[in-house]
Amino acid sequence: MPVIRTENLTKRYGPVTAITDINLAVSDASIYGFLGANGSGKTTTIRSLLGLIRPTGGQAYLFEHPVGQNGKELRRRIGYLPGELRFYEDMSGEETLRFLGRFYGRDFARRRRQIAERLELSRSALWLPVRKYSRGMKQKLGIIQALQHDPELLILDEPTEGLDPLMQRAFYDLIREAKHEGKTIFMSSHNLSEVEKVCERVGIVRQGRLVADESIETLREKRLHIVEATLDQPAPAELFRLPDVEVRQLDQRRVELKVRGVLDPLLRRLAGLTIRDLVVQRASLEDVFMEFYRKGDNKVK
Amino acid sequence: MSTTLMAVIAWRRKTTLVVYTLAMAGFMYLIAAVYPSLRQVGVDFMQALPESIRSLMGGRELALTSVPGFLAVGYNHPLVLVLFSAFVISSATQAAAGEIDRRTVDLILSRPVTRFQVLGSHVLFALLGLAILSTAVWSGTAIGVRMGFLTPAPDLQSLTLISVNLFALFFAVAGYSFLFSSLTSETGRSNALAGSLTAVFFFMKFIGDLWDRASFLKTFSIFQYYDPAGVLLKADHFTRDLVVLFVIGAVTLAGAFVVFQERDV
Repeated sequence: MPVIRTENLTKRYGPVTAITDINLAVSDASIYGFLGANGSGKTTTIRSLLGLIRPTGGQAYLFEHPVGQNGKELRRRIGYLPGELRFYEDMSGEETLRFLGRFYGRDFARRRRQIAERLELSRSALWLPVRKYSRGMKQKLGIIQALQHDPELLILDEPTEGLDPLMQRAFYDLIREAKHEGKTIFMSSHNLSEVEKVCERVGIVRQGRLVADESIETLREKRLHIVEATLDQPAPAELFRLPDVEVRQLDQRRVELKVRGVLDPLLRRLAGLTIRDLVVQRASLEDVFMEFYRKGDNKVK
Repeated sequence: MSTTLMAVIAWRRKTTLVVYTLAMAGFMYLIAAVYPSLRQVGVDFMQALPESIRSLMGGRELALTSVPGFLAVGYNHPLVLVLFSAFVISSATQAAAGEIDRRTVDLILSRPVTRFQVLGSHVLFALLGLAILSTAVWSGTAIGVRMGFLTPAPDLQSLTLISVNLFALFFAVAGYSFLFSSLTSETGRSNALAGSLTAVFFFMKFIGDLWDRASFLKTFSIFQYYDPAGVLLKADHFTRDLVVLFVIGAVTLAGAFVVFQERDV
């Protein structure tokens, strides 16, 4: 059962279109990465999922219930970390967590203490007014408030923003554990290595449109390879004209080949030649991401 | 309403409410306390004030040195009107525009709570605060009466009715302030709209009182329906005044709920 589903979700602000026809399906007990550059529509999509903004078209569903109907009960099952995280500055961290936890009718003291320890947010720090918190401390507080009531669905907007690498690792552990407990995690990010590390599926949003929605595995298979071949004989570019291969002549005997997808057709072509040197490099997920961005709307899901 | 949210609103606004309450009670007590000495020395002075000033003080037709006239001055004093306005407008602004402006709205509305409950909690706190302030005004005056400062002493029932009239006036202010708060996303804009409209209403009444040809303006001012002196003199328009003020407040508050329910935050 998809925990999150959207059908042609669209949001326009007058003449400006923030998101267009977003179709998502996030399955149960999975970690979904929502990737996109700043202003691409990630936060608009997330805020539409929570009913904070009303879509101008389409519909979002959480746990197969339309967002906007019975929203109070739906939100009981959700933990949310806003991208633009703000608290009441005059309250302490502990007061903030207690206050936010009380909406669920229970005290989550033990659980929030456990998470705080994992994120190295000390008790004394928790009793400081939030206005004295650093960016990283506020982010930790945001993570604790999202997780403290043990929600079935976590919606996290740029969750590692402001966290140092050690704390990022602690956070990844927390969400992996949540996933193993059957929770669903939907997180936006522009950090590709982060998404690669923890997510099983990824959606890439560009200019308000979902340009890719694939498993990390599939995305990995689609990775670019950069092949640099030095031949014994002159290597004319025409020799390597193959589908999904971009050729760049470096000199008379050297070519750089950018291969999208499997290498097999190129290797077959190279097999008939005398090769002096061959370097194969895997392009990063970032290159894949940029590829989606370059191709933009033409990219087919 | 959400008791969790109400508790936090009260905790965050407690200092303001306590200070304003003490200020109101203290001020009205002082007004009563200075009456005997002013009555002795100030008859000529008070009556010699320009009509515009006496009108501004809320007692053009009354002898300002009479108890009803003098109390009217107290209840119409800028300090009373400004403090009540400040409390009501700031409470309303914090509700929607303030939460959106601070971006704390995401944290609140992602909880298992409806928008109606969120706004309702703010409205309830504002109205409770308004009731406390109105009671403080009553208490200050009542203590002054008890101490024998005001002779002939007004009956406590009349003082209660004045406080009810004061509550009704600022219930109307609260109504449109919450509506502006729901319509806007910036604290400053919400405050400015509500504050300006209140000032416009005040000056419509003032100009209407001063200038007969502009007297029609008074009908459109909420301050026309706030008449402490009229209450003390048992004027017959008290019920009408209350109905007008409560209807304005209720309609605009309903509008605030509808707008907040539907809007993007």
